[in-house]
Amino acid sequence: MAVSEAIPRGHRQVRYFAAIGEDALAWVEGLARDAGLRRVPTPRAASLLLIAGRLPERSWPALRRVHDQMPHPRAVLHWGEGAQPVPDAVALAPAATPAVAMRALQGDLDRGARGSSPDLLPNEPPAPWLGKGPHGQGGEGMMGGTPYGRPMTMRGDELRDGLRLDAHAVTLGPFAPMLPPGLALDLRLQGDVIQRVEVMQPPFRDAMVEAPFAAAIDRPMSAAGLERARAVHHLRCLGRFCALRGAAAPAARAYASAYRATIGGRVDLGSLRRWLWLSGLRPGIAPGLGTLSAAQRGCLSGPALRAAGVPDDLRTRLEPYTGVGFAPIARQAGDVRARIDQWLAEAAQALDLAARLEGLPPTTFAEGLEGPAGALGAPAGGDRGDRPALDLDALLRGLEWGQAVSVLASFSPDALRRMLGAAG
Amino acid sequence: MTALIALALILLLSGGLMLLLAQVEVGPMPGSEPQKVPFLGGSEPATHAWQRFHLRYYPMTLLFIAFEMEMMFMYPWAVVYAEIGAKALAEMGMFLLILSIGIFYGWREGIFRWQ
Repeated sequence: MAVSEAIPRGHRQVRYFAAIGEDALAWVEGLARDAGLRRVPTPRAASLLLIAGRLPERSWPALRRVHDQMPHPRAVLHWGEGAQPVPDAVALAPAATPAVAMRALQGDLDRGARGSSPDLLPNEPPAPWLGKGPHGQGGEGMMGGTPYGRPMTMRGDELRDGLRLDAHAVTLGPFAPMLPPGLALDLRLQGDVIQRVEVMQPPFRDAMVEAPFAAAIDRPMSAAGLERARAVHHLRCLGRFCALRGAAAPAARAYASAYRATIGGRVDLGSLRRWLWLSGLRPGIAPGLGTLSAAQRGCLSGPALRAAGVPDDLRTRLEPYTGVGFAPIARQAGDVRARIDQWLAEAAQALDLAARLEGLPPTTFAEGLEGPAGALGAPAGGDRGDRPALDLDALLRGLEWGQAVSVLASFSPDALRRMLGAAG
Repeated sequence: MTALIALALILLLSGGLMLLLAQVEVGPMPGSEPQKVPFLGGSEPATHAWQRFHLRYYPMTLLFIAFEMEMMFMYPWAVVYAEIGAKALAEMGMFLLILSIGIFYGWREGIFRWQ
């Protein structure tokens, strides 16, 4: 569809910032297919705040800050259930399609038919001026105290070239667009090299991708449908990774492939593979980036575990997969490259399996099955409990920020949440 | 004729300057206090924004000035050295002494370590 058809006459592109809550990442990524909507990476460029999914109460203060950072006129749309901290947000049921409501809200704002959403925080500096004189001078100590309310950064250790300069302390999240939704990190940086990482909040739950797999434990489900859902999950993860690396064309192709797999259409993964290579994205990932130490490897599961040389897959033991000659794919490196290749290979394998399993009667996997990010159900329940939690500091320390974002995006958000040891 | 062209140029340039100045906003920064806080995905900055950012090419720049620029001055110095003699040697010695402080500083900071 051409862009001119997608955007109705008289409407401009709606720029929205997505504050993604629990189980809502797939919804928001589905909106990317609408050319009239544009998800922007900062609230400063947005006129619409889309709150998607349920927001845990601990992230409300962060949402209030994000809301107030949008320029006027602005509006808020809450897509999903549960409470959220913006009183004048327009509510939208989870089953609804928000594109129409978003365009209508933007139109109302443009015409002045709707007032701008007022500030939630008091109009006073969060860290008030503490200096004595009119220019902040006259405080205590060598730095003149803390005239701007926040302490000055001090010299800190440096890992890479030993040049000790100011250690920049920054807390990012839980609505940082380059991190999985909900993840909040406390970082110490020298330039863009990470000196220390602390997880303030693990990513939000994202059980929606696993929902059909979890359902198959209790009631019969079509194995072909499950394999298609697996391919969709892997392709979405690939699309997200490409988008974060700034490769818009492969990202669009990965998302389009995911959509075609959802509706049961023909998917050309060979074309996606060529795009990944020829765009320079796949060769541009440094080999060995994001490799887990031997002690840390125990917290991996699913495709990430198989990319690290362990061909663990429940499907090797389960009907109907054994009937069609299923063999797990594994590779050795265990780095970001291997995990990207693994997603693509497993997506192709899942689509191939779906074609071969088509027409078989639905199966109940009472003893558990292989989910998109690791084993699910009875046999998995036991061993998941004693998995070690991922030490994110050990994994990201010494990397440049861009590399760290790539490493985080090479795990699916829900897998990352489990690896960080979050319960539920 | 020349006076007319000069007058036209003055008018054009001063008009352009006025247009530029007209865009400069005078007065307090627009927007509320929460809008002045940098966007960190919902978090607040913990430290002041005024800090020494670690430029990764900084050690390389230091080495470049210490070694490369010293060579640049040594070429013309070599041409006149035979003519001036001991005085030129003393001057170059002082110059190298000052530059070596940079090298020793870099050495102390560990810029010669292979990564």
